[in-house]
Amino acid sequence: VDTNDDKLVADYLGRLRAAASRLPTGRRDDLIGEIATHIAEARAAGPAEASEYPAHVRNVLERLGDPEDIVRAADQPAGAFDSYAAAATAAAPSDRAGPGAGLGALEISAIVLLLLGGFLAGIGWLAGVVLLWLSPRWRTGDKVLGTLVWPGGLLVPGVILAVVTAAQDGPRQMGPTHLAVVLIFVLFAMLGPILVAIRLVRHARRQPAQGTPDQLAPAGLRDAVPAEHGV
Amino acid sequence: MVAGEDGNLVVQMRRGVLPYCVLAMLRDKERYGFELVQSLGAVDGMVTGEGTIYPLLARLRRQGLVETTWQESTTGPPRRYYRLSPGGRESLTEFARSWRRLRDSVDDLLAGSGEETYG
Repeated sequence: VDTNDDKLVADYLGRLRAAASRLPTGRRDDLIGEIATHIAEARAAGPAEASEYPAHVRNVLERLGDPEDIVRAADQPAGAFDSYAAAATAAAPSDRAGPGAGLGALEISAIVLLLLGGFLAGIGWLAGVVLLWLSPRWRTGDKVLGTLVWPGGLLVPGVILAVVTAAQDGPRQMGPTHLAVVLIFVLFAMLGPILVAIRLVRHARRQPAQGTPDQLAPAGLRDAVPAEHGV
Repeated sequence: MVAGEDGNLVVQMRRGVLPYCVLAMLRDKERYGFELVQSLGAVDGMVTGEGTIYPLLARLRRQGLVETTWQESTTGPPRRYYRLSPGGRESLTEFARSWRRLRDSVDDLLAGSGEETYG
């Protein structure tokens, strides 16, 4: 009887694992672990009567429900509850991103340091990179872009510009063609970090947009009943 | 109203309030997953598939509405205990206020229409 129960459980967890393959690794492992623990706990608690044993495991699995339903619950897009809860937590003092602004102190510091931090002995830019990666507002792609374009931010084109300007007054003056090439290079080198900074600002703002309707009326009654499925 | 639609509405309503019922169960004490699921399962009409509570708990965790700690168990594997975070408490209070307003309004309307019919 016991081995049959084990087989039932293994089958169930196998179906769950297959259904959960579409979830991100961390969430998938977590979910499967939780369900496996639940089954273990339920089996350890056992039924009151020994005669109920054969039906017990089947009953436990039945109550857990179809693995596909469980995964669907893990997979659901942000619904009314999520934006409602997000609005509530965004207003909580523990949230470092501030009340739903999208562009909190962390994000602004990161962008300013990425652009100009290079002038603070180079350390400022590194601090900007750290803040960039700490912020939950940006996806990995944005973070990589912010790190690579360009290390030091405006420092390198700034220094070149300063050197060229200083040299124009001295004996090592450049010819007009040479100067134009250098200036165009400086312009492009400056454009990179500035365009990336603009992109970062826009993406940071985009994130909280889904929570906005609920933030306008956090105590609104319609939040309690999903409107899209009304009668 | 078609019966299917009616059933769907109840499902949607339940889905909407379930997260707050979980938060409410954690208001006074911390509980571990299996214990929570058992208690919720015992509430009439609250849960259809017990397994779907776990994704919900994971979401509450990600949203910072609950905090968790692992504790050893004498009878089996370590247990993950859930408790309300300050943000979760705030969210629950807010919901309780909205819920009472909605419930009272609906109750009044339902009672009112009954009186009109019979009065």
